[in-house]
Amino acid sequence: MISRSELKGPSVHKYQVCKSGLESKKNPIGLATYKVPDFPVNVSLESLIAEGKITLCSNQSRINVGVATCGRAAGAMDIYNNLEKRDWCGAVRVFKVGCIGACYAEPLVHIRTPEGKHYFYGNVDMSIFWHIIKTAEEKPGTKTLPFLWAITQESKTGILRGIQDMELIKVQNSGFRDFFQPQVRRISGRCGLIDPENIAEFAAMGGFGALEKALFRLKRKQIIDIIRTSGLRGRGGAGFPTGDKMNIAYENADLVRYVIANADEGDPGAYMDRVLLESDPFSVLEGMMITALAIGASQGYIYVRHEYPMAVHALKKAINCAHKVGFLGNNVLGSSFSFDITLVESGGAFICGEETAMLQIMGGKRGEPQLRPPYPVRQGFQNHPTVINNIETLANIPWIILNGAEAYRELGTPKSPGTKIFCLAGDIKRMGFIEVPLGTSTKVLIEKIGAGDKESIKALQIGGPSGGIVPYKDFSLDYETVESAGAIIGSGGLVTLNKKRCMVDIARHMVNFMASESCGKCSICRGGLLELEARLLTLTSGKGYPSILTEIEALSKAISSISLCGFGKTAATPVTTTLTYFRDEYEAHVNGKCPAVFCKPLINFEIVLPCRECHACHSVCPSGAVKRRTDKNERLVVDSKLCIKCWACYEACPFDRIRIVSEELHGKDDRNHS
Amino acid sequence: MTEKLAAWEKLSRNDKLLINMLHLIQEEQGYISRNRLAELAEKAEVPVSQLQGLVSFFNSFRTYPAGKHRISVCYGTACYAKGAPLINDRLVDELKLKDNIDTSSDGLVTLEHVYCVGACSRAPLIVVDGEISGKIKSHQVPLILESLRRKE
Repeated sequence: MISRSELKGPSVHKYQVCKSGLESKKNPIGLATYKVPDFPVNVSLESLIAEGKITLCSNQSRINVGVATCGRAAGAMDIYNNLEKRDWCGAVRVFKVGCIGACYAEPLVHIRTPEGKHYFYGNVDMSIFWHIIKTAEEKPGTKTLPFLWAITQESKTGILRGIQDMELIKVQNSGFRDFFQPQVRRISGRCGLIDPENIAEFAAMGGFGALEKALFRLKRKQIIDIIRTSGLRGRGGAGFPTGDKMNIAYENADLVRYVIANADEGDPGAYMDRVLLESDPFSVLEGMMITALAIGASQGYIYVRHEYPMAVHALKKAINCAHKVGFLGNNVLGSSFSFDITLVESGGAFICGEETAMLQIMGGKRGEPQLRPPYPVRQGFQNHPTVINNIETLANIPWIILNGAEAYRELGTPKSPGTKIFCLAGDIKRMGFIEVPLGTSTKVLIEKIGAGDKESIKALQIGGPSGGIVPYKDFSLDYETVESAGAIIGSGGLVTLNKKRCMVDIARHMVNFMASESCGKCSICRGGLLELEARLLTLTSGKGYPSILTEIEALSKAISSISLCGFGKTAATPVTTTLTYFRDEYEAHVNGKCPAVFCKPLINFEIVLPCRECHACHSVCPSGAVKRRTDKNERLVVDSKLCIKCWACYEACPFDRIRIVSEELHGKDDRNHS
Repeated sequence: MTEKLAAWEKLSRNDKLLINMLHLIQEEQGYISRNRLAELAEKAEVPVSQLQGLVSFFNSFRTYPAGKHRISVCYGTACYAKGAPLINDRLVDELKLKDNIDTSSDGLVTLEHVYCVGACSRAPLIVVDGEISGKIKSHQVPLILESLRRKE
């Protein structure tokens, strides 16, 4: 084995200095962006770290604009383009970064000043541009404070390995503090602070340290033992111990082995893989490399979802970049370990997140799940042992290698150690991507971090469409407790549903999704789900009959007991859980009433007095249903015969004077008015 | 034979994945025609039926041409709960789409569904020609379509 001192490859340090430091002073307008040299060169880790520090903790101010998918949806590209266009006279550089997690605050701009202070601006629009420019340009001590959300200070100026290295010194927006305070950012600490396309910044933030340790200071068996004692469980849903999986592949007699990263994150409402890939792709590559090194694989695949074009782009760039500096390919970091990664783009099928279905696709066949055993870890891609891990699991591995198994077990519960990323969405104020220790209670997540209103929240949907919909109450989020509540943690999507959401319709939507995503191999899943959807559609269109609930129950039981794979077994969970917990809503639908006033055929719109007659509803109504009544009390009314129930008037009314009523109520109200 | 198909032979054994080739073909044409599929089958030495099976398995592959602009409505749980069906219904109305037809008769817009683009905080979302816009209300739909028409 080669020692570190022998590994001094040609440094690109000088290159970087001349590109960014000196030249930009001469030529203030041209902001040279970092480019990896075009020639294949083995760069040592030290020189990469030094190079990353130049941009990351420089003596220029640095502006980070979050331009991940959520940022773009909020218009962050306009902000970036405007800031980038400005002539900063070499004093400031503007960077595109990923997502820091506070998706509700997008577009988010964050400034690092040379003295190590970080200024966070949320919900940025053109009106506060001037404040951002002032903060970035002015000398210390004269900063302008309005519109700031928070200021943090690096614990030790110039050392920044993640958001955990910052101390909060001033909070202007208390929600921002509440969002971050209960979190522990172990694996997502770099997200939103580094340029995801720049390998040097990743290294400067402590990246590749684990790979170096694994390559030169640990034996392969030791790596596996560390992961095993850490108790890391697969984050994709099933929760299988990762170390055990690695060990099975390690002990296999077949010497050709593969690593596959499963980024086919199909669960609606879960986007942690997307954030990790868009904001910190190198950490996933590092996790893959360590796994490959431990089990002895030389080829890896990343099976990524087609619906995440930005993540695909980020991965392509990251793989190319890692190749160019010799962190991928032959003899990684000058060692005897060689590894390559190929990207596989899925085509939009939920079932392909199932490992055997994924392997079928990679083999060029339809993605139909296969009977296990043999498990892929014994006989997978091209019949060789294949370790398939979720993106989040892989991102955990470098942290464990670097900090040890004991440190990892400090957080979480004994059976589910470590931290888990959850995605908060739905009817709460602060939505986003959060990392908390496993076993944190839902109360902290929904009420403290998410600022959800306890009174208005009806249900939680945990673990994607095959998870369950459970009533909102305080319980701890670890694998066992959630399972006993009737749901699964799954990949970690938490969609909060408030009292306005109709449970029957949500269940119908889930079943519709599952029916369209069924691979069609088992007839009970292919046909049964369609039948189940038809029954639920009967309910939501107000044509229910007394025996329909028994039929729904029998059908969902049959689907889950006969299907072959996990998809079919869990496909009816949304229906069974809502039937258990929200049976009254189902019964109301049988009687032709939607208690949550959502199902179109069962509701009517009314304009209630006092109406200000602003005509907003009249102007947006596409079907001409909002009319002026011409009898003695002249006023605007909704003609229920013409109404197409598009909710346009309800959304447009500035005074909340549109009321939606369900049929039974409507009859009563009608009598009162006429 | 297109350049992209010719690249197949240069790929190493580990990189020869049919699904990646199908994406390349779709990128080039906007859809996957029968001719291209036959060409790929010949190159890769697999039956056309196997490729056809792969194409029909996925939502994102098209076997017939799409309209000039593509609008995807996100149907993920969060978007659905926050009103994606209302946007979809309004689009169907405005584009006068009939059952099983996803492209407007003037060939301007193709309406598609996507299950979660992963920006649930901005729900409900639509993706117009790859550009994501969030917090859409159904009465904004005519404006969006108008701006597409004006681009013509």
